[in-house]
Amino acid sequence: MQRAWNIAITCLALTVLILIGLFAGRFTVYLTSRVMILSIFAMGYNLLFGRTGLLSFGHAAFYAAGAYGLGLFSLHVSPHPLIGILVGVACACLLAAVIGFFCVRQTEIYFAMLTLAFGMMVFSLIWNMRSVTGGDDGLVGIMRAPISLGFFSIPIIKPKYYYFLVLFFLAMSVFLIYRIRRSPFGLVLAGIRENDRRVEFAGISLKNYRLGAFIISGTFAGLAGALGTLLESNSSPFSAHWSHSAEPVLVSLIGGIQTFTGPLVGSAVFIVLREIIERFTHNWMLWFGLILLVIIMGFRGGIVGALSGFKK
Amino acid sequence: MAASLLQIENLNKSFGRVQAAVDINLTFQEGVLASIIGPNGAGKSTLINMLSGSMPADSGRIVFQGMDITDMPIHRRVRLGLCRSFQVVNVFPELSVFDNIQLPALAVGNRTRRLFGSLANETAVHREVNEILELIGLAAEAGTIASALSHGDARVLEVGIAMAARPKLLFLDEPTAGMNPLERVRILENIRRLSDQGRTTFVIVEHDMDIVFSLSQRVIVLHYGEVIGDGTTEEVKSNPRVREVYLGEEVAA
Amino acid sequence: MDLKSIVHVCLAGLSTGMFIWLVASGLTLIFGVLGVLNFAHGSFYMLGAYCCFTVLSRLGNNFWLGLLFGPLAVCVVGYVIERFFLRYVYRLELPYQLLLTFAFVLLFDDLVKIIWGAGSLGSPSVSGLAGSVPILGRNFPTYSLFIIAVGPLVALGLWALIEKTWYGRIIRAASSDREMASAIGVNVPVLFTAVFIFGTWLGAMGGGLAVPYVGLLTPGMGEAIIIDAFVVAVIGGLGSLKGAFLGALIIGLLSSFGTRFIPAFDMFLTFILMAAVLLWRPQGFFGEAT
Repeated sequence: MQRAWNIAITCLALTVLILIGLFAGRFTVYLTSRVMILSIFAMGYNLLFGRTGLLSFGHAAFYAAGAYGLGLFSLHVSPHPLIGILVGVACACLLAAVIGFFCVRQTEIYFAMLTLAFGMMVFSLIWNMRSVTGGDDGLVGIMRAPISLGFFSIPIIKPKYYYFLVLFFLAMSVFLIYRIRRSPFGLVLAGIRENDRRVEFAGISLKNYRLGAFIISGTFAGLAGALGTLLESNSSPFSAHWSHSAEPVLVSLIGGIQTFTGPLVGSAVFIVLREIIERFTHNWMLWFGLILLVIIMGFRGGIVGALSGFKK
Repeated sequence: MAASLLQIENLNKSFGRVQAAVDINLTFQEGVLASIIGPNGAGKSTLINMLSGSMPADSGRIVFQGMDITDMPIHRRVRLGLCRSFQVVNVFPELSVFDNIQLPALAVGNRTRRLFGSLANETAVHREVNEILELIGLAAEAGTIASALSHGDARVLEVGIAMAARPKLLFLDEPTAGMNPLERVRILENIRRLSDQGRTTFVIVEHDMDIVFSLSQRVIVLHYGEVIGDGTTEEVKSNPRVREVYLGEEVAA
Repeated sequence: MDLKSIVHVCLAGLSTGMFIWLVASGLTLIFGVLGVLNFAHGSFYMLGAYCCFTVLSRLGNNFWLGLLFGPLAVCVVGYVIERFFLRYVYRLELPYQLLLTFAFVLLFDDLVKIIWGAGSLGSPSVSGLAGSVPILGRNFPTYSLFIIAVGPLVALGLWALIEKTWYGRIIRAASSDREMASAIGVNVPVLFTAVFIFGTWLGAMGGGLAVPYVGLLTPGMGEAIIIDAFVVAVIGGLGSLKGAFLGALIIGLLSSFGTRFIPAFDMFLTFILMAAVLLWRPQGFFGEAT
């Protein structure tokens, strides 16, 4: 019964997204693209945070690795977007492996502080290596070159075409993360969250599986970063700042960290709400601070959590 | 001569000035149900911690099935077949009973690396999990969330999780702690039955003398970190030092 | 690279370090007793600065009155946060506590912009401490010397409080064993509120003292200092005041030398040091091993 419900919701969401891509106005398409990219970031992140129970303040570094990986490749080697995305994802994956190797050696607050330290190291490198990364100006002028597939090419320079590329990657990410959650590996991650001491006594190397979750979530962050760069045609060093790391956390909390669809719902709410708030006032941080406060004090299941409560 | 599973050579451990393990030399044979007894502070938990890998010894060697495991991490010892259960209920609270057992079963079956395979397809592992659930009598509670179990059932699950790793040698740390007489009988029956099956050799750490003497083929007595008695129940009962230290009040009566 | 330059860079590093120490002292105290890593501590620093500024501009540019009343206003904020919000999340997991304090960071960042405007405020100089003093032939700001003196005074004061007084004993007891302290009659909730308010006051004082130093008050000053305070607290050992003081000195000096000689990578060095400590000696130089 649960499965039927999930499939129905997924089909509905997919239909809505496709309809938006086909018929909505330019700004809505742009906004939804941003929602989808943030969803990828948040879903990957939630695998580490909600599922495995590890809070990282440095994942923005992997988003930036994807962003700058694609950006540098695009500007200096070839503007081919798909290869660029691959390069960005590979950079993020590698960086996550290196940083994760060190971070998973510690737990709880020391882990969080380590991720913060490494994340800010990446930020300061990006900020200071002006000649390579453009410093505080970032990389600009990254083209969305057309994707050529044999006889025809897809002009993703047009927002609507790019939208469907992003949708494709979102669907792929959703599918992959869904499979991971329902796999033996996914059960191990849940076990780590529930009782990380006992997991070792069940024959599982805690460090290795934490590292696995770290790398996977970092890789999705990189994908989001690469897609984000193509959307905006530039990359900014602030995408590596620790305050950017707070976004997927916020988004997952709003949607519901223990749920599968939470990050998706949260992303939509976050971006739409921010747009609405910014129409009236510059002070969107105030409102999000309040929302976060309310959620932590009373609604820790997030939106999806609260809705499931209603269902029962 | 039964095969020697575990050899402990000259194991020592102290915490500051407290000596928790003093030159411990023990050998555990396959198929022999043994018990470790001793008053509080005798060093039973420390010994189990060192053997299972959560605490390093100060000096000495631990050899399991011919392999030196003295410096081996916990999970590797478990994979080799050396497991323990806990005195305090130490389960995965928000997972179902089935998943609690499934986790170690998957690990030992080398299935946990699978990222994209569905749990639903792990039929071989599921068969095993159901077997274990039947064995420990929790088959009816397979779908219940662990934190919703009664204390007695939770203690049984605790042992079940340790069993799911298919250990050759399993240390049960006070398995009947906090149980009522009925639950106690049940779990002891299970242990006796499993021990007779021969797949796992049990070593029980206990307080309760009745359990120890009725169940064990061999009793080891610890006192202030030293082994002061080691043999059959009869031998230990008549060991003067053991009587003096442990059974003092009962003998006097 | 002569002696004069080195001495001046050292002095600059010391004065920067003292501000970090003031914020880190409150952060460390709160972590040591309550077990909470307060992200919003940088915000208390910022609020302390802004409140001090407002008080002094209303009261005839009297810096000392600003320093007296500004931080007290921030203490009220601290009280509200602990009593009505933080108190209810102690029993929750670590991420929620961190995120709660982070929510307040967001709130205060915007509140400051709303109340005082998004631009920067020029900071006045303090009569009597204005100007500079020649040291080894080059001028060094008098106010910075003042700060270098204040830092250790605060450290000494805290040391005396914790080690020598009855209150300090209770604080030490509660931080090492909360349940035990409660069992022997210490009113732990009240103690927690008191410690949080005191920690807030320390951070706000740091902000107040920063008013004549920083030149410009900006809404970003809270975020800038909280990261440094975190680094310092980690290096010194989370929960150790002694460690935080030494850590602040180290980071202040490192930062100063870094800015002077290798400007591109001073931030990077700070974080490498933080990561190194976390990896090889997570309890810091003076913290207790977990």
